[in-house]
Amino acid sequence: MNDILILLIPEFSGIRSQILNRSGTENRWRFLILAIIAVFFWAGLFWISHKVLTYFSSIEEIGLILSYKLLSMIIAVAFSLFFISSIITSISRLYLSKDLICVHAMPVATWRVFFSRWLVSFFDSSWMVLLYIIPVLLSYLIVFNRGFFSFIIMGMSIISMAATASVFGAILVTTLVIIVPAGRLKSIFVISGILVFCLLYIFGRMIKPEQIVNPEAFNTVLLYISSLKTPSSQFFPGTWVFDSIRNLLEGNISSALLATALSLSFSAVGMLLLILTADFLYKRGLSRSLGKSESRIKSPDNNQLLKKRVSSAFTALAGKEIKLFFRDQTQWSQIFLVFALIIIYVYNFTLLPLDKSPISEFYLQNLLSFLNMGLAFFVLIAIAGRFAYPAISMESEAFWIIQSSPISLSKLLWIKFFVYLVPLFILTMILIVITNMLLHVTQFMMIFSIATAAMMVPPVIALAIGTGSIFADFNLENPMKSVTGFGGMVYMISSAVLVGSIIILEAGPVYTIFMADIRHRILNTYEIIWCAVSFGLVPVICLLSVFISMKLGAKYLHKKTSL
Amino acid sequence: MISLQNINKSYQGQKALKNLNLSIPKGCLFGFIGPNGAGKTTTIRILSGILLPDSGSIEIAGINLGDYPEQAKQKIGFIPDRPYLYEKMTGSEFLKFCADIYKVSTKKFIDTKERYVNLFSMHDYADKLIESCSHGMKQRIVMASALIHDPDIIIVDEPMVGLDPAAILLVKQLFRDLADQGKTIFMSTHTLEIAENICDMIAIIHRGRILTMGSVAELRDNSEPSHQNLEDLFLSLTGQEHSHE
Repeated sequence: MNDILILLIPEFSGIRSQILNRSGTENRWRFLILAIIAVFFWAGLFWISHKVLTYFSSIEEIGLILSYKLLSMIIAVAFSLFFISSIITSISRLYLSKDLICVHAMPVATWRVFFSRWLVSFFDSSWMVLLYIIPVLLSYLIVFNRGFFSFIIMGMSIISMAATASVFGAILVTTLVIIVPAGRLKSIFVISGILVFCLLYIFGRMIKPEQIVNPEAFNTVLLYISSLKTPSSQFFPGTWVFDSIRNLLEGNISSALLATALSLSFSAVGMLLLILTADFLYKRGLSRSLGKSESRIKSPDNNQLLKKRVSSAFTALAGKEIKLFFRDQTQWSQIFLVFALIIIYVYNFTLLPLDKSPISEFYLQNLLSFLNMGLAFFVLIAIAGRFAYPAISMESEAFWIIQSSPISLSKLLWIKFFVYLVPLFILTMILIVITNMLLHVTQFMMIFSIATAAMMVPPVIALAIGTGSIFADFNLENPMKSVTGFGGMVYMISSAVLVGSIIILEAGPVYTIFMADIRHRILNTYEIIWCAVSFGLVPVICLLSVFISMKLGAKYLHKKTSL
Repeated sequence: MISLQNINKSYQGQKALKNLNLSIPKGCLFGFIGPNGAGKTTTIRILSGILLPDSGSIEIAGINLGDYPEQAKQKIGFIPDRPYLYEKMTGSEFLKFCADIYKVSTKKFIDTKERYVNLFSMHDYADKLIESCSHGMKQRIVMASALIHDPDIIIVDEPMVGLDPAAILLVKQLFRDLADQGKTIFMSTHTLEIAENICDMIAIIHRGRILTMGSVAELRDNSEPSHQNLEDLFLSLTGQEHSHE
């Protein structure tokens, strides 16, 4: 056991140094802002859960059933998250970590190394889900009027379920690595995980959950309620956890303790099984994974090279960017998510019950078209955050190649800007045009939306590249995740402020023009000046945002990397 | 060809380079030696335009690096000590990428690439993703990429790390030939024997200051009688001693 604890010391030291490094004023602010956001999110989750459960408890007959059904769904979702997450972290921690060669050279039994790694993987894969499940469980305890003791038992049950899911994930990985090398296995899981998520996302939307609150579909709801009473599978590891929590909420402490004990003992047996599996298979899988896989790509021959007319720094850097994107499965696989997002976004517009609204359909269509612009820009902000924001950090430790080359950082930033501008411009236009067509908007609104979108895409991309440069980190293990950090937040907020400002600037003039058109009247001089100034300011603000973002990005990147 | 004047550099108050002055003529193979933390890598990074000095000026082939960084870098081929590359590119793709960045014409690239692929025996792995290459293979790719635009000045940080004996011999010969052809090579190394064997001029840096500089013969002439070779002089100047068994 001592060896296992010693092997965990580097992990503890890493966490401790991360905390101690927050001593600088800037880091302290950063930490404070992130903590405030986390607390707000946490409090929001608690508020929503509490509201839903209070509402359920007020419904006679089916209120309790709904609360328990919701609980069983939460447990099922949490178990799935624990399981999927543990597969990905197990592959990384057990087979792909950079320090594995060093650790395995130590005089420690393989199963001990494995177990210490699994403990870290278990923590990595479950802490976030556990953190966000707490407010939900707390709301159950408050609504059902239970005490702190119940919370402790609940916590033990949930942790045992997380451990069981992690054990299952690790056993699956340890077995599969014998057949497929870890690097490739991770790619397969990442891609299939994203595909499954996209399909579930699209399927979840296609079943039209809003029909549940539609009184016309009441017969269907009654059938649904009867299906709620269907018992869960006895073979599902979360059933003990569900039984434990339900008994706690009903005050049956002894039954709750029995269910918790069963869950804990199952986890313990699982861990034993995991150690036995590891003792038998881990070393073989690891040896296989440490061997390098070879991917051969045929280079163009000399004749092909000579046929290429354009050969410049721009094409070299743009080509490199595109090649690296499509050869890295963690990047290109996210295109599936973008497609799923577009499908759902457009599909939502086909379901809008415009004809049933008491407001004029013509008016509503055009109002929605205007609001749709804002929504499409927020989709753009999110996608640019995922792809364009990490573009500079993605240079990673190979950034010296750019630094020592005769390419200025400013030029590099502009090249990245254009590389991401083209696809995101097309994407935004598709969103705007298709949704406007579905809404049957006027020609004015169509042209106006397209023009605004054409002006808005460049500053959003420039903000992503600019802030991504200011907060560039070339030492991140996964730069794609950089958008979740403080810099990503600055980008999101500044982009949202920009989009909001443009929408507010345009809203008044558009409304005036639109109403004048409906009432068949001509705009007066004051209105014309107002519209001209407002519409004239939009391209000015957009252009300024592009140039300021890019200039600041290049300036701070230069300062950060050359001092 | 390379001129550094009054270069100072500090990291968080700690002086890494103190009033560094160097002048290296065309066609010189210059060996830059010093113990760990002496300031070798900082000097190399400043010379290659990666880091900015706190004060002082640098001229590369008559071009001021601070004023015209892009033009000056066009003259340099830089070989770092740790070859971090774009792992998802192949060796050939990386060479073409560098050629395009340095504005090498396609025809010239084809000829130069052939030459260096043959010279560094890269045929077997030129079309493999760099992520599957060993450290030594990566180092060969970096060397080929640094020479692809036929630079006038080559700046090399610890060139022999990770290379097998045959490759070390090859690189030593290559650098000597390039210097004989009029290229200027600034090479930092820990391997004193290499510096002694192939360099025209040597400078010893310690704690950010140049302790001595000159040709191998000049250094020998100026050293004490007890110094049998460059290693003795180096250890004596840097205040280190031979470990006796």
